[in-house]
Amino acid sequence: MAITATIQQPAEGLIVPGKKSLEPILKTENLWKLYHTGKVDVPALRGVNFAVAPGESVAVMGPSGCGKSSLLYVIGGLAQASKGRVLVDGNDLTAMSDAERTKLRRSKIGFVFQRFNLLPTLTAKGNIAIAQFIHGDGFDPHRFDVVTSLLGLAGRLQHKPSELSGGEQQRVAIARAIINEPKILLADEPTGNLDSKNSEAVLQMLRQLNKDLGQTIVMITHNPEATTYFDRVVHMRDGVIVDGVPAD
Amino acid sequence: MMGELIVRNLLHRPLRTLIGVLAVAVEVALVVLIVGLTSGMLSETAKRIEGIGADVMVQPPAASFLIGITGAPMPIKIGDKLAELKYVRSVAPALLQFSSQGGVDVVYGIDRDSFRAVSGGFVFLQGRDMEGPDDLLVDDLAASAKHIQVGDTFRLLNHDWRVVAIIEHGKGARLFVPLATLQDLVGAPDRATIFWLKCTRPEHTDDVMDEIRHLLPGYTVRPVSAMLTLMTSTNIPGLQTFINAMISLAVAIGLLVIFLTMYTTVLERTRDIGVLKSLGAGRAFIVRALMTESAGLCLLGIVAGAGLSYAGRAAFHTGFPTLPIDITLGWVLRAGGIALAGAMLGASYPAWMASRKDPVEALSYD
Repeated sequence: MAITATIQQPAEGLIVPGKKSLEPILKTENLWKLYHTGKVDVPALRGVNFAVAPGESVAVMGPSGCGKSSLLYVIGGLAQASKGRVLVDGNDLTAMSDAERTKLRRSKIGFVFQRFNLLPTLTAKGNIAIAQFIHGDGFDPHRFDVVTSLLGLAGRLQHKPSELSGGEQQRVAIARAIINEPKILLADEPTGNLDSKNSEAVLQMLRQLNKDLGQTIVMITHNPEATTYFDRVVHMRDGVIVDGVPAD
Repeated sequence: MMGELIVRNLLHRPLRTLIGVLAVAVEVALVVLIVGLTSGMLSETAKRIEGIGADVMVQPPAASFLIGITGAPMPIKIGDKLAELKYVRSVAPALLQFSSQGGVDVVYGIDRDSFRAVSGGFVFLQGRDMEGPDDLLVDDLAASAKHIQVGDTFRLLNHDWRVVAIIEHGKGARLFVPLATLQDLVGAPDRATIFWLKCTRPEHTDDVMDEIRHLLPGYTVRPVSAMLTLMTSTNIPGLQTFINAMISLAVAIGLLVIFLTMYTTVLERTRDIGVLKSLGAGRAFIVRALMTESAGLCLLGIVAGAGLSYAGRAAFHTGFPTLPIDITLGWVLRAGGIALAGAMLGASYPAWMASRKDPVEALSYD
């Protein structure tokens, strides 16, 4: 694992508790996302200003419909912003074409979803290896062994998702997300479908990835207890960040 | 990895894969069998005509090379003039009559001795040569198909014939009757449909043909050796159109089944497509994955179709021994190519549709 944070001079510096002032690896400026439903534009994000430093772990909390998932999809390049800017590792997503965003996503972003979203036809090994295949560097057995050992998957690799527990499926999803050493790991309520024991295990793993390997993580959650595993908690309400003010 | 993904996807829904494979197999077999049947029948007919052993055939003016559909407009005395030509060893008149009684047959009315002189005679598997006016010779394939045995009475052209021999196939027709009897039956006394000529040496064929053209201007004179090249689907009016229509129908079936298979596949895998996109898979990757899967399914179908074609031919041969099916590797490959092209066309829209899916909508698809 060679995920390391690059420490730079703080031009628009951030002060992360316990860490040096860093250039943000992820930044949004007046970010808007509108959804067109019929003739009506429904705003999901209303001018979000948000920044994450390299190696930082941030939990985003807020009630349902406040725009958390929309924020995750836009900063992950899965959805196009309606207005404003999204900078990922210095690249402006809003100025990119769909193909360019796909390419950036391939190299710099890893996703973990609430519903695991593993490919049902592939084994655990196949689900992880396909991310390497799409990344374009081919299968790297050393990297694969490191990641699967880290996540305790070594004995479950030949099983299909339907043969794995929820916790195991989510660990496979995390392995898939980090196998290509992304700059940012985006997790959309990764414990939402897990019992408390597995939730804790997954959160521990995310924290381990962050603390031991410096993986930048942005996680959406409804669970206040989950936020304790993160450096910082951001609250959202009605499509905007309401930092310092609990949304619920 | 792509290969593993495709194989596992194909195995994930075995029934759907099986239906897709079967559809392509039927498409391939349909093309191979239809083309094989037409070309087989034509080439077998041509070979039978060549098997008579004559060098030249003479027909009335404007006669078709499809000798069974020509009437009997030539006076039989022409044969005497033809026999007088230099380099002509023997001449055999024949009256050909089309019969649809109990199957489609061309019956040859022949003069036993002159036909023997031209052809070298039949190979008798059972029975003896024709002697009486109602004697009927049947070749082995027709005997098998019609369940005829020596000694049977067989009704043909509204006349009861006595089967006197089963002969080896390959001498023009499958059914032979005395010329005079057939002339009476069809109301064409002293008339013939065709004259078969045997030259003293095969290399005199052109000289003999030139002489005949001089003697009988306007008459149709052909070397028998040309029959194999004449008997092709492109020379039969409407046959190539029929074949093309059948091929189009087969392709349409394959294309629609592949389209439906891949369309439902894309719908079912909407979430998976969203996942692949979240991993950074571009449109080209999605299209390639689905098109390769379709190609894999189609290739399985082509292999199954080739097997089905041979099995179909074997079954056909058992039920209808007189209908030869000529399966060639060239046409198996061509049918496979046609099926593959159809499958790619059928899969292209679902693949394009998949590549255009919005990843966020795809990920939230249930």
